Amino acid sequence: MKQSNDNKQNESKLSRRDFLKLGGALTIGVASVGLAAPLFRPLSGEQTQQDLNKFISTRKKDFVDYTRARAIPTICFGCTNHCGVIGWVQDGKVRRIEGNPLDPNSLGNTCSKTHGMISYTYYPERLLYPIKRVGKRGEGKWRRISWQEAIQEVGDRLKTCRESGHPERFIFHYGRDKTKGFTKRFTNAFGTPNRLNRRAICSSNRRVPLMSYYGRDFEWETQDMENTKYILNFGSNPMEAYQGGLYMMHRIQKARVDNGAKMVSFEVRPTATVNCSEEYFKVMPGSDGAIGFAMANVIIDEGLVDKAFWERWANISLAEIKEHIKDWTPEHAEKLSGVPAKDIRRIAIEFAKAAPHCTTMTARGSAKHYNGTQGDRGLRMLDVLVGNVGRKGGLCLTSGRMWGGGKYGQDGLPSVSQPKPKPPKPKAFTPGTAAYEDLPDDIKAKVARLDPQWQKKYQGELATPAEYPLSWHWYGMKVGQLVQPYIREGRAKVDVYMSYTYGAAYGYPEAKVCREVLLDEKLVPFHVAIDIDYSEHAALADMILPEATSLERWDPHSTNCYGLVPYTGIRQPLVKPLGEAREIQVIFRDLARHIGGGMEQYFDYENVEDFYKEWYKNVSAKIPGGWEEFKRRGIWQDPDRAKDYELYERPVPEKELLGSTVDPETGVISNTIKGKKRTVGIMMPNPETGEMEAVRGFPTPSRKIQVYDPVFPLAAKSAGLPEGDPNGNALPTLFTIPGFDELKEDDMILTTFKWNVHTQGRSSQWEFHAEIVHTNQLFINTRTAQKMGLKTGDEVEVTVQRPRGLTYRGGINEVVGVVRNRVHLLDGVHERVVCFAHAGGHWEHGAVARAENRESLPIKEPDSGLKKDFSNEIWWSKERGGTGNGAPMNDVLPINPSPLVGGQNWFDNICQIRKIS
Amino acid sequence: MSELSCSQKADIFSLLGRIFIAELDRESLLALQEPQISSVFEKLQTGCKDYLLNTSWDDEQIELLASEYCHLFILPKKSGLSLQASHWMTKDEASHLAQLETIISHLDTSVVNYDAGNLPGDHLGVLLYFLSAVYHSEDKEIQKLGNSLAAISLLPWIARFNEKLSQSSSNPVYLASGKLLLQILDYKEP
Repeated sequence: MKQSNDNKQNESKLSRRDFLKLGGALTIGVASVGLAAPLFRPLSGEQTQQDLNKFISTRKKDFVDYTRARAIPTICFGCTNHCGVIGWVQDGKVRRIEGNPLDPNSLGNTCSKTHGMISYTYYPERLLYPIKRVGKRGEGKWRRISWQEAIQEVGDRLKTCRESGHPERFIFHYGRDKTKGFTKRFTNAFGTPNRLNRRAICSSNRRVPLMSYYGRDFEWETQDMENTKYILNFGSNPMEAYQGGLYMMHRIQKARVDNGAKMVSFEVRPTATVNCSEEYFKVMPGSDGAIGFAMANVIIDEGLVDKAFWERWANISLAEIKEHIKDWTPEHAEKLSGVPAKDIRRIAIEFAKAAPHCTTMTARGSAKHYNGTQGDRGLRMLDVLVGNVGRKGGLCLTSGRMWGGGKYGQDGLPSVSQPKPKPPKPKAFTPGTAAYEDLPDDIKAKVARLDPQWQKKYQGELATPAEYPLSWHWYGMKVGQLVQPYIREGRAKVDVYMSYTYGAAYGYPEAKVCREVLLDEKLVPFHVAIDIDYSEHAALADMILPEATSLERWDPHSTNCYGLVPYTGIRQPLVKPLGEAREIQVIFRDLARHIGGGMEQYFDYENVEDFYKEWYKNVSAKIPGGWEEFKRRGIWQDPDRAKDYELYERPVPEKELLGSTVDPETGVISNTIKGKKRTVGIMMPNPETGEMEAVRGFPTPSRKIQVYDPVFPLAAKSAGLPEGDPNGNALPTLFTIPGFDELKEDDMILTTFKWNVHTQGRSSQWEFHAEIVHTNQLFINTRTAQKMGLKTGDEVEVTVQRPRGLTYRGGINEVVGVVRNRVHLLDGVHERVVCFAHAGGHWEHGAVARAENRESLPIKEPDSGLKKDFSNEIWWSKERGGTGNGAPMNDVLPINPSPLVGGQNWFDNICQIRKIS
Repeated sequence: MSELSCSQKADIFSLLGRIFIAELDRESLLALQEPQISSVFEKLQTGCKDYLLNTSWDDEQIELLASEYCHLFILPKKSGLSLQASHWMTKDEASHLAQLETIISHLDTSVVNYDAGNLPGDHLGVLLYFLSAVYHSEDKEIQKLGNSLAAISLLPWIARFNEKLSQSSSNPVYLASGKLLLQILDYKEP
């Protein structure tokens, strides 16, 4: 029979009468026609009943009834990717999460971490009620309080702080804040610049080279993976843990299968990305830049430079670059990295010949070193040399982050912007202001040394540390690992310290410093934590406010699109917050109203949804069906928009040229926009006609790719770096990590990594993920271990030395810490490297993270319906003969901010390993 | 009006079990031609009544119908219409259902028409007959389990099955049966 397409139109709902008619006919007709004669005898017997009951009861708890469950799209918060997902909600509970196929980044894929949202939402030891300490700080004694009492006390303290004329003494310190500026609305309205983040912990060393080269809008690159043919991977791991990793992994594999793309990885350990690579080279930590400079030399020497591109867009001549890097040859790189010079040559040629369908990929592996910023600048040069920037299959730049309307590359997109009125930005600490006068004299001297452009922006040592001007030159990346040390040193005063889903007391380098400061009530008079569970950081608070999880709240979403067409999405609540947990939008609204003094005008909403509806009004206007349809889809993308290839060649719109001026020397076009003079483009010759025309260029001061960037020497001078220090070189520069050139035979380099099922320190309480990975043994090269007489499972003592160089306590001859752990032998790890996953050894976050068989929350909460018996579930506990939850390794890693930028140099840790007999 | 009794539910599941467990024979078609049954099927699928009543159910037509069943459900590679729940369920769901199959495999069969031993335990026809047996039970405690058992064994996949059925076949009886199955699973007493 042929198929019919009109079956849907034929559907008709049976009435109750129809069912009765049918049932009746069958019951009467059974005997006569035999049609409904059963296959089985009617069921009977107690045993059958018991069997069926048992079957049902084991299934019922997690069963999704798709005919009753509601599918609601939202945005995942399991890691940094933030994929569009769809949650299935049944009986008021989220039962299952799957990918949203409308998400142009994830393409409907998800990873295991998306289910972590269910785990942490229904974690039996989640915090569900405001609590206040009753013992000493950190003693773990609490009592439950009402929200009214909580808002009253926190609000009073904040009000007093604000009215004292020193709003900067309110410190807001957050871990992962994906509210896209909502928390900033609160701190701006309050008047404090101290909205401090963990960007330095994460990625500032790799963002600075990108922003320096391509402009503020491109702090994160967007490789056109699905069209590429050659990938040079320097220490990034998109197959497991990388911002954008899920978006990239499918595209990389597609390119490998469909385009025959080749991926070459330079790494210190065999990651999942390494395992998907055609070639893998073990490299000495901190030597990626050396390989990059060597490859640049080869590309120039072999005549493989895309001269037309370089001469058009690089802001320095090829001859000058050649002269600058000439000594950093493949042979030199071999000495530093261990990668054979002949392979460096071969790969450089292969890479350049694939242009423009080739791209580099860098990440923490290359950048989180003392020399990482300059090294990454060298690696970034490879793309410019071969001319793959912005081109199909190359290193593309798409500006889809934080849609503001009129931002670079966003012409034609609807503006997605916070509802008005918007609070003003906090004022700079200029002489005469109360905040400036409050600074210690030695800090005032440092501020006086800053270049005037930074003096005008200076807002204190926590938000704008004078020694790290590049941590806040492009935008406020901050230097989070120095916050507590700076407070201890008296560089900043604190009235109210508010932490927001923050884990520095466990996960930051030398986390013990953070704990010591938080325990000192003279330094931190009041600490209120907003968190969803009882973290190590929250445990050191005076009050904890329970927050709604990502399945229970609203957030805007936008990120760069690896399909190169900008999109946006909305995180929306699938269920109501459990217990008395509240959305941050409600907590801040109520605090703002309590504080008053004008703050309340910025939080004038009752219903949080109304606030986001207003925020997204311009997107809703583009969608037939408006806001409701946007919510139903969860994602919006302009289907007719062209891909973001070669944005820099696009013409400057006529309206921006009206009244503009052109610098006769540089060709840079400037105009006054919203009262400020800004560059909007550059005059360039048309490649075919030679006629000058106004094109966008890059959003840098020169509108070109700034391979040469004068901001580095300016920052070095401002920060007081010694003359000639390589960190301050305007050109990308190769140098060795201090101390690495005098390593003793038994010195090892201690590095860290992330597991694919974990997200920093935030996932150890996810039950199923913890079941997969719950410990953090030390991985060590098999041959190295054998030389030390070690075998898998042996216990060792790790002694970590204070780093050299111009960093926190740099050069002081001291041991940062000693820790014991067990080793796991693994071929493929670099011979001088010992590495561990940093998400182990928790002492808070509840029974699952602690790997204990009993409840650990230090306060008895009313029955939430979530409590469960841990006696059997945590089979990896030491009590049950398991490995336990690993060692708290972060305490022995030194605070080590990179000069000028402040990014934590996670992988420069010189250590010694000693077997415990 | 009285409620749909467990016995009536049992008979509807039994009817559906018969339709899906094997090709339709002449006796089954005769039963479906009963006015009260064919009118309900017509409501579910326009043209069904005409198809049932006005097709000359000679040997050739019966053979054609059997062939259609075979192509749709027994050789499902082309249609993608497996009658086995495990084809449609996730690994977890299918592994759980295996426990139910074990229970089913120990039940007494009452009629020799179809040998349950030769059919997989997660076959739609077997599951429907099993639900019929649950609702036919004289034990009210067992009857009460019917909705939960239907929800676990059929709901996770039957909507997708039916969607595929509607794309793969235009036979009014199968289309009506698929819809009837969805609606009986969704049926709630007012």
